[in-house]
Amino acid sequence: MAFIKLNDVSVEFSVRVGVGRALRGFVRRAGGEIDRKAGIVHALNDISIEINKGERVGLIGHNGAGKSTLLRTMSGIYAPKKGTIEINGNISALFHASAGMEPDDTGYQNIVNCGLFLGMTKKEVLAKVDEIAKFSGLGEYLDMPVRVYSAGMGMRLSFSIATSINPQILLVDEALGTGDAQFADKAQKRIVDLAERSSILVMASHSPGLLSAICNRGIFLEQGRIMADGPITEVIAAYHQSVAESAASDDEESGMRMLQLVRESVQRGETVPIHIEELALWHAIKLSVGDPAMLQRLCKLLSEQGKDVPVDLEIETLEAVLKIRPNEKASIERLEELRKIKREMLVIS
Amino acid sequence: MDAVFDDCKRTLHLTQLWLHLGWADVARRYRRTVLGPLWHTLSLGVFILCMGLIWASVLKTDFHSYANHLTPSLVAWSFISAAILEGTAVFLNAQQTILTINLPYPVLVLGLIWKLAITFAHHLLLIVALMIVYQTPPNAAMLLLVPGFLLTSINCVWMAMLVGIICLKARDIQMLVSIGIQVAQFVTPVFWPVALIAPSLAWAVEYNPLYHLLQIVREPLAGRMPDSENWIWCGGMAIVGSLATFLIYAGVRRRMAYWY
Repeated sequence: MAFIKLNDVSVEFSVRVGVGRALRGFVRRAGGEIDRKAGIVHALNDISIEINKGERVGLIGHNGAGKSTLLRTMSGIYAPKKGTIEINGNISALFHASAGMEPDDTGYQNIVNCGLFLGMTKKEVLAKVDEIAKFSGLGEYLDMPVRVYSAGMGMRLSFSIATSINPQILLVDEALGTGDAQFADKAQKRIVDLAERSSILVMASHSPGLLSAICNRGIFLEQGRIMADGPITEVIAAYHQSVAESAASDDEESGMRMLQLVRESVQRGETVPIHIEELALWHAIKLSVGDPAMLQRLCKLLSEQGKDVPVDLEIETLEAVLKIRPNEKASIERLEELRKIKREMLVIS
Repeated sequence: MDAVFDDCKRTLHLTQLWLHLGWADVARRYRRTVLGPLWHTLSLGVFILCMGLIWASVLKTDFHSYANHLTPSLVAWSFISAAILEGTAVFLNAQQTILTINLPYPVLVLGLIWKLAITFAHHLLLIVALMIVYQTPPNAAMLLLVPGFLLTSINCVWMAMLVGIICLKARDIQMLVSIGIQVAQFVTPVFWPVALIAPSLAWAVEYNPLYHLLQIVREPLAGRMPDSENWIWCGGMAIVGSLATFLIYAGVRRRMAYWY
């Protein structure tokens, strides 16, 4: 029976090697807390998790929260500095790159390359080639070198190979985002299918929508620590909350993060909590000044929440609208009115 | 330690993988070129031809006898030196693979040595060409190529593994190794017949491990028997070197992925 057990696992990266440049490289990959003096990045701190069969775990967190490091630790690539790991079950990992994928080889050749890396014998791979080819839906492209594939096509091939061995444990890092909608559906079904056949899925993503569609348990990581662990909906709520809190602090980066979160959710046609969309829009209008659609949306959200729309914001909105539709009577009149109010306010103060 | 024994077991399990890695690497070089890896053989042949003409005159001997020395020398040397040189990058270049899948490191080394063995087989064409041109019939001593090449390969495996580990940790060593190999190419009797060295310097050849590795491949290629001393050196190196590399690997294995 498949399981993953992590007891007090800590992973650190030593970055003493040529501090300046090397440090940046490590941080980008590992994230976590940086101890500059000792030259150590604490990528994972005292992580204890137990995952049992049938669980589909979504890892959520910002860039550098430790998601990828945790996945790599689970797959045995990084041996933990502290703590123990117990794994039962054969693992297949779907990370950004596929082990064995050679850009100059054709899709068919790469099925063999990657299959052997996953521990299949040549005979086993050849028996599965047709099934893999069919699932990937790449058709004649499989006779062409992989270097001509789009990112999405490459992902489809990797996914089809990685899941073909019927792994008991499937680790996925962000990879599902790149395919087209049709394949994403197919992939989702296959993952849920695998997980139902008594295996484990652990999947990292920043996109709450994807995770809530697939996973039944969530783990929210921040700076290499577990912030929340439980049913996926609760964990995602905690994640949203944390994003909102940090965005409210008004620094550039968290605003961007928020914006990205909302944009991704909207792209997938999900509804975003109204106060989060509002916060994101406040940042968005600073980035693209005078975008009438964003300004209008923000005004609408404010009034929907029963909040006052600031005069300056409304003026800015109307000016932006009148730039594209200069003859809108109602808007012109309202703008006049608002300018008057503003002048009066200035006089009073 | 357990993890390393486990690695060895898994490496055996993955035999098909590393055989494929070496083979596919050679096959890739044939793609879209007419000669593929034979270009390497051809360049070696041209080199032997030019070197042979000049050096035969410098050494005051005839082309035939010098080519008889130089060809097997270079064919054997190119295998040993490539194993060490490419060994420096065997883990460095595999960053993506290592950080994507939990792979026993020796798989990559065996893939490399297998690839070089296939390339070596291509170079044997030069030996055959020499035998045809000078009408030299093959002899029984040539059969010793099999154990000789095998023993040298075993030594190349641990050497490549060791420099691979060292160069992953300390990138500067890669440059030092390539300088070292350049020097070794002239210090080791590759170009010059060993008989020409002054007796007072004979120890420099005698205690050069690369010389013995060279001998057990070169001599059979030339149709001669290597000395028993050569075999003892190579056998001893294989045991001591493999053991030392195994212990070093066991000591650092857990940390290697962090060195990328």
